[in-house]
Amino acid sequence: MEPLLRIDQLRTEIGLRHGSVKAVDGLDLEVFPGETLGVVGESGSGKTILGLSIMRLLPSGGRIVDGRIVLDGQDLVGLSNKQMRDVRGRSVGFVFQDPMTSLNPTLPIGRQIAEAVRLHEQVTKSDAMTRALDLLQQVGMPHAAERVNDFPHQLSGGLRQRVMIAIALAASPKLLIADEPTTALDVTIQEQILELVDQLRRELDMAVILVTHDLGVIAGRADRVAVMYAGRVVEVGDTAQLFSNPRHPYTEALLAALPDNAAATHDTLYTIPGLPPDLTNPPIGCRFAPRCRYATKECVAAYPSVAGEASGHRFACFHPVGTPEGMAHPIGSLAWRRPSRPEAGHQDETARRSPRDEGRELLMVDHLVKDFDVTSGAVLQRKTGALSAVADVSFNLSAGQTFGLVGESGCGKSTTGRLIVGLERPTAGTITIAGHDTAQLHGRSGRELRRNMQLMFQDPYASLDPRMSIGAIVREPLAIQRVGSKREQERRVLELLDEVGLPATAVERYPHEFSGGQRQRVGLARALALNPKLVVADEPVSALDVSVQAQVLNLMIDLQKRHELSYVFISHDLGVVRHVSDTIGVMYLGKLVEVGPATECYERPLHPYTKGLLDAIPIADPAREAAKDKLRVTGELPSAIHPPSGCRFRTRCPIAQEVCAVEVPVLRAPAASEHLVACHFPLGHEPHAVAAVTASS
Amino acid sequence: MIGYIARRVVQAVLVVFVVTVVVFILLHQLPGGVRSMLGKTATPQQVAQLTQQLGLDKPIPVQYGKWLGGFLQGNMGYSITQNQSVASLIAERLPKTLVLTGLSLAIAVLLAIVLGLLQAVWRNKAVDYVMTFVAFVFYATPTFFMGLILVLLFAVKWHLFPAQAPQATSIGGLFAAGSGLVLPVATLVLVSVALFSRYVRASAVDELTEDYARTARAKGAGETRVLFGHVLRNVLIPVVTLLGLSLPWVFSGALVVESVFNYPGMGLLFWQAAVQHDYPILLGVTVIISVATVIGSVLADITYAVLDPRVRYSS
Amino acid sequence: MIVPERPGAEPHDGAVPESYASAPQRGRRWIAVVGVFAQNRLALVSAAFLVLFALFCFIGPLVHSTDQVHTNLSIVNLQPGSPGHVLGTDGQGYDQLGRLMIGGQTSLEVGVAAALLATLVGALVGAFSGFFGGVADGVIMRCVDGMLAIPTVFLLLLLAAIVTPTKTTLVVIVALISWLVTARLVRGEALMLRTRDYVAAARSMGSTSPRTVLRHIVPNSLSVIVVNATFQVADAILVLATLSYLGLGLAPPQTDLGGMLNDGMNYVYNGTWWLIWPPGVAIVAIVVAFNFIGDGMRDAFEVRLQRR
Repeated sequence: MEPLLRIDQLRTEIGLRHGSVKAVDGLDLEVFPGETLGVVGESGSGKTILGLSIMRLLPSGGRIVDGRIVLDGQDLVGLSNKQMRDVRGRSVGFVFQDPMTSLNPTLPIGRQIAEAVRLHEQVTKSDAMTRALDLLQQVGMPHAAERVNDFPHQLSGGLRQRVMIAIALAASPKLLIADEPTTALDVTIQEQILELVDQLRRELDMAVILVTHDLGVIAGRADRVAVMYAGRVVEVGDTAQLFSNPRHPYTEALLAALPDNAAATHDTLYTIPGLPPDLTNPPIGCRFAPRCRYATKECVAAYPSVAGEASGHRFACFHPVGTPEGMAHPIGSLAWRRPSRPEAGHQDETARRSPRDEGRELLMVDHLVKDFDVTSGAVLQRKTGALSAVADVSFNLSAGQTFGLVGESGCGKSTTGRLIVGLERPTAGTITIAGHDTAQLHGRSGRELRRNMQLMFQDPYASLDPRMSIGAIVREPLAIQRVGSKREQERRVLELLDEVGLPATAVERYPHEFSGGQRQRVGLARALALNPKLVVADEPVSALDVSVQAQVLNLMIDLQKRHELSYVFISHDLGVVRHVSDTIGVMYLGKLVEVGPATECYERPLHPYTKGLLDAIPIADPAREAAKDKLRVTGELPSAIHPPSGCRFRTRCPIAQEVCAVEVPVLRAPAASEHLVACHFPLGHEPHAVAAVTASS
Repeated sequence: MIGYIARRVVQAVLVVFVVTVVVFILLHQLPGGVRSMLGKTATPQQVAQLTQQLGLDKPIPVQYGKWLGGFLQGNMGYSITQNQSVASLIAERLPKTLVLTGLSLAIAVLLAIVLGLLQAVWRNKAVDYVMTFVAFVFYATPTFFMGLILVLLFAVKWHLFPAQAPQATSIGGLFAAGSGLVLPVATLVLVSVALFSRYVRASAVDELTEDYARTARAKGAGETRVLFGHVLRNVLIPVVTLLGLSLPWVFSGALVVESVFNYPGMGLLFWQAAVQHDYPILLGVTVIISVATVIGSVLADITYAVLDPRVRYSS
Repeated sequence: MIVPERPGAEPHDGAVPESYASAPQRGRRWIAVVGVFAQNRLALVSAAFLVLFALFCFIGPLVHSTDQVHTNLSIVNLQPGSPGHVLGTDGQGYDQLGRLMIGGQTSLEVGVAAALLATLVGALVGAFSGFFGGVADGVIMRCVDGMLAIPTVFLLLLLAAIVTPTKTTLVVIVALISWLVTARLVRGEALMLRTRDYVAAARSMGSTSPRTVLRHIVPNSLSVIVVNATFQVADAILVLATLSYLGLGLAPPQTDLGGMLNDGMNYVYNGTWWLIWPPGVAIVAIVVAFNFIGDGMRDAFEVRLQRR
């Protein structure tokens, strides 16, 4: 078959103040009509610049230096700007990552779609508006007719992304490029959007390039996959083949680093050492060589040419995985899962497996409630309502254990974390840490008590003061709590840096000199400075690339074993949470809907929301992904100012019944186990007795 | 949005209250006071008598309350040096100052939008740099110096426009002698245009790199369409706020311009009063001018709220 | 004259994600800031000009010694190039070149001192007000709004009518008006910074509020504060000139550049151009130079922030 799009030796550079970044550097790629090509790579791999190069929408300073981009027999690189305008929208549609900023905030959505229509077709304004309405319906906008005159800010992220898709489809392009279309969205919404793109591709018979960092998204949706590393495609092939039999060591490593693929919970994840190369001055040889365990002298000396198989599975490697050369460094499939400290944790892990025996609970959260006031009024800001962020949440955590708190944005998980460390005051309920009620957290004794718990943040950029050296940052808790002399504090800083795997020279350097993963290590060092008993980690790895994420997770687990730490691990990523947690709590709209042992929750979810969440999370395994019998969570998250009566999930629950709107389900165990659920109809069990309601109704 | 506007109005009233308090207290520090009104020959008895008569011996809060009561009824007292009530003086002068500032502001903003957009289109090219440099120079020129230069060139050297503002008593009269308005307005426009054009340029350059502009390009829109169809509204809406914020600055400029061109507005009145320590005029004019700026900025904020859908459709 | 709010920051074209620039880079941040600043030729030229002008004002009188205290009515309004008077003399018989030196001294001294005072007060008030928020913030900001609503020149005239102008009182008067803008600016910064994770981290460790403000909020607002201080100097010099023009400047024989310009305007129709152009051009040049430096610094700081 003739490819719809063929890219030959594309080179795109981005000029900086000094030198230029070779963001795409000799890239070959083909896209066939009607197929979905997944392009996967970590940040900085050039995947976004690839998409923008096709559209010639590069950031300023960016330019295509060399190569050909042939779309339907026409080389786009040679086109004038005017001709290029005709390609954009008409031949190629583009969906951008962030639907919050990608729409014009001052124009109604209908007009923005109609504009796309009118740019490529000679139609009247009213005809264009009619088309816009059709398109909105096509992309599944609920109540489309009432929404055409809405402004972007009146829509949720998921709906805005639907508008973006409508704009991209306005002139019926043959190729749709979706650049991380769901990264900014929650998993249940991501599922809806990916499904929509898939369905539209089939209906309109167009090709889709799905650019993402998420192997799971690719596994479920792409026909073929191209793996990018440092500006080049290192491996391309049929999705099933590539996932089951990765040939490039980078692909193999990427798959191995996913928590989903770890042999068991708490196992050390495979990590890729080092960092991607500096693309202002890329190495001559294979760009992955410095981080590759198969690398030889040959790899450093020259770039491997792309070798192919009859099936179309091609890769650029001298020592592909599974060949005799590759076997020269035998690392069995099990062995590579634990390259460092393979035996370290095994013994005490079994000991840790029996948590309840220890008896003593480190953290007790009891009927925790947090309402944020909603105020209005011209003169005096009267309280006119309350946003119910956390509604009656209770759980316990023993020393040395990890409690994983999962949920989508707006579910109250971060607020719960902030309440635990005392950054917010609860509206009701108590938090007890090591026997002390945190409500007493003020004055001197409060300050002492704070030493027991520390917070670790999501954004490694925002959590370190850019004006402070690393030494000062790590020393800050010691300085605030006046622990030891300055000399002692400085010695402790070195100790801590060593513990999180940073060199002592880091002391005098500043945060901007470090990568995201390294910064998260600094954050961890700071959190550990006071020897806390509990660390509340709020999405500690969600801003990091997969390979770096694995490094940080390993470190966290390792430190936990060494220091008997307890973690409250907050994340939207169930895969990551399952990997690190002993117990998981699932939150929805301020409520804890399910609590239980990690594997139990993951493998036998009781709450329909947990099941929906699990099904929506794409697994980086095409076979498993296809085999899923999905429970689809539809619709949008309701407002926390007016939460639904009864069960808060009922508005989106496929199995909700009348009773769900009336009675608030309590957290209880349907079977004799530690697995609790707040649902009237727990999955795989008899409905809870609803005597009270039946009597009253 | 109603709530937003109501809140803004309440804030404005508070601000005006602060203004009156600040000015009242400041004026009480004025040296000379009653003595300067009566002249050097006044006896202590005369001074004491007048002080009592004017209520100046009472505690400041009492005096303030009395003045505020009068002010709310439109009674701002009598000028010491001019035989007229402050209210009537202001009523005569304020419209002229508003004509001067309104005209200048309108021209300056229109000019600035055009220049700023042109600079954004030609950003980082020679034209852009030259225009930036000129804008900075105009901004750095003291208003009275700018006025002087214009007078020297256009009035003294080329005799194109008169160096004096029209002395008409009515607004109609001002415009009838329109050529006299040219130099005062031009002065105020030149010194203030940079303030807005720099903003428009920076904002337009910023908006042109926003994601939504990229979306428009991805639809197939050309740069002209991106600029006028998408970026322009997003640039202009905040200009309204800037306009409101710049009012005190423009009134300051107007005062200087009025004194350079002998333009019979509030500024000239105020300046003369300051030199002669005419206490009631100083108090009245400052309060009225401040009220005008506050009203202006409230109007700007309301306009902003109406123009920006994000504010308009927020609950 | 004081600008209500400076035009938005120059946007940084070509935002390239950090990861492209790859591995951690060495180098102290101040070196980076200075480096970018040095690339801005206009800013560099401006800085050089200011240094030269300061040398001219402060070292100049040692080389070109003139009597700037006693009037000498026998040599009034001499043409430039007259023996001993390169730039001629003014209406009081002062040597114009020497007068430019002492006028420049005053303008620079008062401008810089007022800007520093205003920046110090404004930054502290703004940082604390923004950090604490609540009622105190509301009250402080309404007061600031109130003061800002009174047009600068009107307020100046009131203040200047109360006190006798000396260098010290002028510094205080100008600072009294200028700190408002700084306060509002820094408050905005503090409002934004207090939601940062590192501030939350410090609070969760038990950091007291004053410590958090002084260790985190103020240092992180520093770039904004420094850039603003530069603009403040420029504005203070303009304000000072306007005061002199309105007749409320320093009493002779002291003077500043604005005062010289005002004196020169008395003879404007006599064709004594040398009384007007040197001080006028000097004011414009100094103010433009400070503005370019401020702009250059803003760019320099922003590049660092962009790289975070």
